Amino acid sequence: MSRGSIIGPIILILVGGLFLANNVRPDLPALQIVADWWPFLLIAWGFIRFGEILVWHSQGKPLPTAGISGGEWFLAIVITLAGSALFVGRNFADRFPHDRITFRGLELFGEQFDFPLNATFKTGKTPRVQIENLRGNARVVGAETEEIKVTGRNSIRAFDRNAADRNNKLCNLEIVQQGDLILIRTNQDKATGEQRIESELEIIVPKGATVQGRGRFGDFDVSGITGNVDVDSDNAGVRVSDIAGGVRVDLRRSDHVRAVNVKGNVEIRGRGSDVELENIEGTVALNGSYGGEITFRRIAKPIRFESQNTNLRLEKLAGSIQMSHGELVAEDFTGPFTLRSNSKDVELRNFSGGADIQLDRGDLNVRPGRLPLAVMTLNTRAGNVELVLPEKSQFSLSAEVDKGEIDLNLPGQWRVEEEGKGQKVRGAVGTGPSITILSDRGELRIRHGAVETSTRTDVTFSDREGAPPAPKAPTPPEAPKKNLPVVEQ
Amino acid sequence: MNSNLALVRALRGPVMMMTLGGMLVADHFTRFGFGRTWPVLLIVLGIMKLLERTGVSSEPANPYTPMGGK
Repeated sequence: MSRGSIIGPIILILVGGLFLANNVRPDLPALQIVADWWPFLLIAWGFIRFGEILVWHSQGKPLPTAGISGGEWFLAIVITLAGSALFVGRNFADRFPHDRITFRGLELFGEQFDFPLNATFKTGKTPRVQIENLRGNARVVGAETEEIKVTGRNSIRAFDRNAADRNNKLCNLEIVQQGDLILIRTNQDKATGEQRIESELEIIVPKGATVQGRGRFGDFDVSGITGNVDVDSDNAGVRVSDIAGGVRVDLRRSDHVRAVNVKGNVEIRGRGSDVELENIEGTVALNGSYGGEITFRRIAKPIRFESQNTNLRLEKLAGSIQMSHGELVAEDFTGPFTLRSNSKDVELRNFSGGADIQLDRGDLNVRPGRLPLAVMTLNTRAGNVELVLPEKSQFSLSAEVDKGEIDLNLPGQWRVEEEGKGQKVRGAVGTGPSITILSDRGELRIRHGAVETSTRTDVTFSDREGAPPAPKAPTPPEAPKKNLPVVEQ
Repeated sequence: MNSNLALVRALRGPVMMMTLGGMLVADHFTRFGFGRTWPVLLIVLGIMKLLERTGVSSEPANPYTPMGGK
C-alpha cells in the first residue's frame, strides 16, 4: 500500500469482519453476500484512492508515480479471481443439493444408523405448531384429530454404533408447549462430535392447525390444513397442498416450491429454482431470484413477481403463465399485464385488460384474442414485435421502429412513413384504446383478426372459467380443451 | 514534472480500478458481461494517457527534449 493510505487498514477490517460474522452467525449467508457484492470493493478502493490523491495534491504533498502500486494491482487481481470463483461456485452449487456435496471423512468412511422416532401430544382443534428440524424432511398432514402424532426416524451417520447411540439420546424428539405455540423439535444442535444427523418426520396435526417450519436442509411437505403455513429454511423444497389459510415461504435456497389448492394468499421470498403455483384463491407475491421454471396456473387474485431482472404484475389468471430465464408465455388472463424485463421473449395470448411491456431485449408476440381491447404499450429496445388483433376490434395505433421495418396488414388506408433507417405508422380503426408499439431495432408485424396461422388457435378462445362469453366454435374431435402444453417457438 | 501531469498520472490507477470494478458489477447484475465490456478498459486507459500528454504539452518546452520526451 502507498504511504499514508487508508486502503490497507480498511481491507483488514473488512476481512476480519467477514470472518467474525461467519464465526459468530454461521446462519448468515456471509459468503453468498461476498460472492454477489465483491466488485463494489474494487470501486470503493479506486474511489478512496482517487479521493486520497486529490487531498494530497491539494495539500501540496508529493504524489505517488503510480496511483495504485504493482502490489496493490496484484492484490486486486487475487480478489477478482477469488470473487469470480465464489460467484461461479455459488451459481454452480445452486443447481445441486448443497448438503450432499461433502468431502469429509464421515461421508466416505462413516456408517448410517437409524433410530425410530415416536411422540404424541394432546392439543385443541386449532393449535399453532412449529417444527424445528435442522436437517431432514418433514411431512405434515392435517386430520380430524385433537392431538399431534409424530413418527419417523433419526438417521445418524457416525464412525461407530456407540457414538450414534450417544447422539440419538442427546437429539431426542420432543413436543413442548410454549405459550400458545407447540414446538416439535429434533434437537440436532445438541449432537456432539463429527456426526451427521437427519430426522425424517411424519407429523399428523389437527386439521385446524397453523404450521410453521424452521430448518436448514430438508424438504417440507404440508397438506390438508385450514390454518396458515409458514416455512423458513436455508435450503428446502417446499410442497403445500389443500391449505385453507395463507402460505408464506422464506428460503435462502430451494430446488422447488409447489403450492396447489390454497385459499389464502401465497407469499414466497428467497432464492431458488422452480416455482409452481396452481389453484390459488388469494393473491400471489413472489420475490427473489429463481433460476428454474416459474409456473402459475389459475390464480384468482393479483399476481406480483419481482426479481432482479423482471417485474411482473397482473390481476387474474384463468389460464397459465410459464416463465423461464429467457422466455415468458402467458395465456388466458385479465390485465392490466405489466412486465419489465431486461431480456425475455414474451408471448401473450387470449387476454383482456391491456398490457404494458418494456423489454431491453426480446421478441414480443401479442394476441389479445378478446374484445373490447384495452390500452397496450409494447416496447422492446431490440427485438421483433408481432401483434395480432381480433376481428372487429377498434383502436388507435402508433407504431414506430428506429431501425427496421413495419409490416402492416390491416384493413383500411394506412400509410407507413419512412424515417431515417426506420419506419412509423399512425392511424385508427373506429374509436378505441391506444396501442403503442416501439422498438429501437427490429421488425413490427401488425395484423388484424387473423389468428388462424397460429398453431395455438384452439386455446385462444378456451372455454375456461373466467373467460368472457365467446361464440363457441365447433370443436374438432381431436382438439384438447384445456391446458395445452406450451409449444416452443 | 508539471504537478497536473503528476496528478493525472497518479489518478490513472484509481480510475482504472473503479472502471474495472464497474465492469465487474455490470457483469454480475446486468446482461453486459465482462467479455463484452472489456474494451472499455482500453478506452479509459487511452483517455488517461491522452490527458497525460495534454499535461505534458502544457508544460514549458524543454530545449533538450523538443519532442516532449522525459
